[in-house]
Amino acid sequence: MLGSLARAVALLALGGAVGLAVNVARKDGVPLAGFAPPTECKAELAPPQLAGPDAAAALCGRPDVVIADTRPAARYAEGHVAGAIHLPCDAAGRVASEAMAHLDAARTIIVYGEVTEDALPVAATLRRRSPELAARVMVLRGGFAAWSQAGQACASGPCDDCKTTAASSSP
Amino acid sequence: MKRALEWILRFGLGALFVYAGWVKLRDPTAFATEVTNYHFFPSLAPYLAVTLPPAELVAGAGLIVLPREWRRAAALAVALLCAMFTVAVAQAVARHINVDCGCFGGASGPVTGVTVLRDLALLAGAIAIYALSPSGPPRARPA
Repeated sequence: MLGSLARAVALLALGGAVGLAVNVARKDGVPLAGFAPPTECKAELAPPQLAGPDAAAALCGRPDVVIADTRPAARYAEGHVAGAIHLPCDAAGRVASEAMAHLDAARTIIVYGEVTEDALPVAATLRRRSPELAARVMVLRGGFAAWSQAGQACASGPCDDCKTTAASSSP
Repeated sequence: MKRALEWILRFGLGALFVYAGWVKLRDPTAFATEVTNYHFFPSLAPYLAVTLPPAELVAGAGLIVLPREWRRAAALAVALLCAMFTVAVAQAVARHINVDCGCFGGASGPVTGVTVLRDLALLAGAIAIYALSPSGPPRARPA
């Protein structure tokens, strides 16, 4: 038994020594002193699909397509894509949950801001929130500015379906 | 019958340990993170993460390829590793630490009571190999 135990310890020590040597040699080795586990998720989502105003307009009006305006409530009230719901960047808690319930049934979600980049954070949040949503979220290329310039349908006034989002996002 | 059981246990457990060691060796930082998450001697986590996978590989391969006088030692080495893993997962379960097992790489699932039972079963398997393996060198056949 003692002989086997000594040999077992020798086997484990051999494995450990090999491990230490390999760790020193490899580029992605673990720092033995001061190792700190990564605190951020490094998995990055691929950029969302962009839809130009004409492509977005072609999808407009379909029952399974939701268009979401990510701008502040005042900008939404001044003018927005016809039929768009209001889903501001700072939507949180109940407001965000109600908006998500709206989006769950949709096959395609097109989000937009003033310009393309404005909508990217909301698109990223939606895509992280649900893997099922990830493949269905698109961003309107050029944002509302491009939509208006293209002469596509617009509406104005607070959103009837999402008064809570408009009211809640107002300061 | 005894020989067949020893053979099945030896090759099964050996292959399992070789696989587990190899998977962990491929991404040492991920394994070090998982070991740290156990909150079990966290300052030792990087050392354990670096030394445990090759120790698993050596012990597992030893069960399969080493000559019979070393097989009991390899079984004992696997038993020692299993005992350590069992203590680690049992303390995580007892302290309600929500941690990914990390036993077979990234997608091993969370540590639960089933993980503890599995590790105990592996420990029992290693002890069985030790008990079933002949202790001495092979007897010389009479000419």
